[in-house]
Amino acid sequence: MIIFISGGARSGKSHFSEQTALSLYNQGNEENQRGCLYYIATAKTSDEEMVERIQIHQQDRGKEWKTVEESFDLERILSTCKKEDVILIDCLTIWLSNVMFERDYSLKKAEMAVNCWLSLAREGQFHLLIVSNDVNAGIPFPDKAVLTYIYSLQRLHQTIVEQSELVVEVQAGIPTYWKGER
Amino acid sequence: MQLVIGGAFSGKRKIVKDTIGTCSWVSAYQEDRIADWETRWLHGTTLVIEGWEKWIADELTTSESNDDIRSLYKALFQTLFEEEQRRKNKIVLIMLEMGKGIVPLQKKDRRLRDIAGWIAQDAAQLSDQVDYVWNGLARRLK
Repeated sequence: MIIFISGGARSGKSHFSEQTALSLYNQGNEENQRGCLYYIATAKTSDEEMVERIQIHQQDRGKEWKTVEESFDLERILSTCKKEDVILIDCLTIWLSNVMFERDYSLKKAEMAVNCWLSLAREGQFHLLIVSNDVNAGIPFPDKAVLTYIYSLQRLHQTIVEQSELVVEVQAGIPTYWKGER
Repeated sequence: MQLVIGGAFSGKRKIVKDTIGTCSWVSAYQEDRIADWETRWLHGTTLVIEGWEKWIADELTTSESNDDIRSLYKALFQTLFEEEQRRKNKIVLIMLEMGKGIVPLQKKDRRLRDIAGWIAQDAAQLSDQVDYVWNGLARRLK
């Protein structure tokens, strides 16, 4: 199953995503289809604030999780995933800024990468949860680079939403189901 | 009258194109003026108007009064509403949600954001259908 989860900063989207991933993982175990539960962290531990944010997230997660840190090449990791694995990507916004600003990805290249993740999930029959952030509802930014980033992120969101079975917006920790319902 | 509102690049235009038949577009992004609606609206089509924040931004440079600008648009919505009843063809207003970021540093940006919010409320009040667009999906609010 492909799941897309988004919301504002500190809206509880990570917590909700982790709970959803954990319940898919436990459900698989009950049915004796043992998979692994992976957390793919796209953020780099480059500054103090990020280290603190990462620690908070790590403390929240239980021992069931295997954490993989990867800022760019998620295809490499996803291509090794097996049936019934549950993979949580946290988050798309940071991945996109990594590849756009450090690897000079065009929107087309980013879209190809994301489409590749989605195909791998479908073909490999593992659960893929993608967490992102809504950054497009403020005043329109005059800065060209920021505007291009927001546009690209929105395009990726729509690509993922189209191919997701479950689409959730999280506000104040409360999920709104835009597509599918559990 | 229908209001379609959502954040930047959220897929508002696509939703309108996918759900509504033949449209006459008046778009600030194509350098149209709001006053063009009367001549642009072809017989038997749905009138779609978009780019409000650009027209509002232009008003800000000529008028000091937020209330005056708001009244101007409120009167326009009323005219559109009546014309819609008369012609028996629909009007769709596409508006940009821009009130969910941090408070802008520049005064003109704060004004723009405030007025756009009020104008959206006025449009919603006159509309019998209001849809919120999020990542290519739409949810009916009214």
